[in-house]
Amino acid sequence: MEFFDVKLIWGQSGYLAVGATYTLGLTFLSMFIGMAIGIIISLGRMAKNFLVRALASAYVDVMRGIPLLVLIIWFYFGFSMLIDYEFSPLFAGVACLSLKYSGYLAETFRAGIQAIEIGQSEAAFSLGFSKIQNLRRIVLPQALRIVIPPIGNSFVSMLQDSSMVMLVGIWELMKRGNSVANSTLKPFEIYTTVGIFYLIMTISASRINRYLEGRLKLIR
Amino acid sequence: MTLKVSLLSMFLAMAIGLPLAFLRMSKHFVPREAAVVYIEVSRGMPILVIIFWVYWGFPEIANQLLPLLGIKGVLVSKYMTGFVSGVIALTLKYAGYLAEIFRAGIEAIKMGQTEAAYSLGFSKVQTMRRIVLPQAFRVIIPPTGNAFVGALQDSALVSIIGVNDLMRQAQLAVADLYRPFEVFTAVAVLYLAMTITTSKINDYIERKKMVIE
Repeated sequence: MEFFDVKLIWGQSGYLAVGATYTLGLTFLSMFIGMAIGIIISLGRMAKNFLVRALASAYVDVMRGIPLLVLIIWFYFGFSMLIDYEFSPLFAGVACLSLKYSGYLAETFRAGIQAIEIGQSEAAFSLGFSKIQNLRRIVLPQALRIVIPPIGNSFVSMLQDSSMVMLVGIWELMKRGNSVANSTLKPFEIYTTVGIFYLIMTISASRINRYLEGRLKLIR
Repeated sequence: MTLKVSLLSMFLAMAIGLPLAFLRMSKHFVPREAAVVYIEVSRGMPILVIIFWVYWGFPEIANQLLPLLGIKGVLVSKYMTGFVSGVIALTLKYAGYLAEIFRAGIEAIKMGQTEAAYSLGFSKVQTMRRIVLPQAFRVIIPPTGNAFVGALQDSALVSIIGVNDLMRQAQLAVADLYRPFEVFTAVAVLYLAMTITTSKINDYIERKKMVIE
């Protein structure tokens, strides 16, 4: 038995790297969908109608309060049983990541939109902008600067949380690491390597995020 | 069990996080950078990876290490139960988060206060204990509460390594009753009850403790 088997790590790193690209792809896709849902929910959170507002805020509370693992298992094994339809692992994984993060992102968007002063919208309305035009042309472009850093943070957490979709059988980094560790009986080496792969991704993502944050900061 | 795992891990993580925060603010290069590396690594690694690494990796590496140190016949895997590994993993992960929270809290206390304390003849330790920490405490509580909500949620993962927490009990119940939708929905509601209650308590404390500046 060799102490800390480097050769083994080298031999498996290609296989794991492919998994890392899946992890990245999965995260980008889920982030994109999560943002789309998040914007809609954040608008619901700010709606005048009481019912819409209460529903949106319940949605946010639920999504932020449920452990992702519970959501995944509930969706893939429970919900699919209820509606008697078998989801593909990829669909289930992306759906759960998107749903979970749409809750966080909705709050991010709401904070970003509310940070834009009401005077700006009033000015836009008095210039004859419609509600949607005002949102699209005036509020969102400015809110974008505010929301990008927290979105980046969500992205970093999602990169990490995407490891949980291994449980539905998507062959991303964690699942591959798990299977290699089981077949080689070298869990310490393999999980260290898997961890380093994740670290490379998360640390570069947060560096890029910090750079963007610096660039986007408004001088006030 | 879920509460036990998360409370214990949170407590240990605080115990590690505070010295780590001091190391992070150290004047000396080596301890400071060591703390930075620890914080970056623990915050950048998925909790699932840490759990597997501890649960399966530690016994393996210990079985190779111990004979080299002349210790034989100790079965490490016997001690690394799911519970122990789960608590170690959650502690390692959250110590990094808490260290940053503590640091932010301590740094939020204005330098002038420390200087005033020194000029009144307080020692370094006294200043920290009597002046800085009591005030930093107020700043620290809300984010620590948020971290606890995170730990509550992440603790669901220890079911994978066989700890009989809420999530695993649910899986056993499903195997028994074959009613996955009902059981997992109930579990989700239970987790929600715990996390939302914690958040609400946290919000309440935050409002009560607010310092008027």
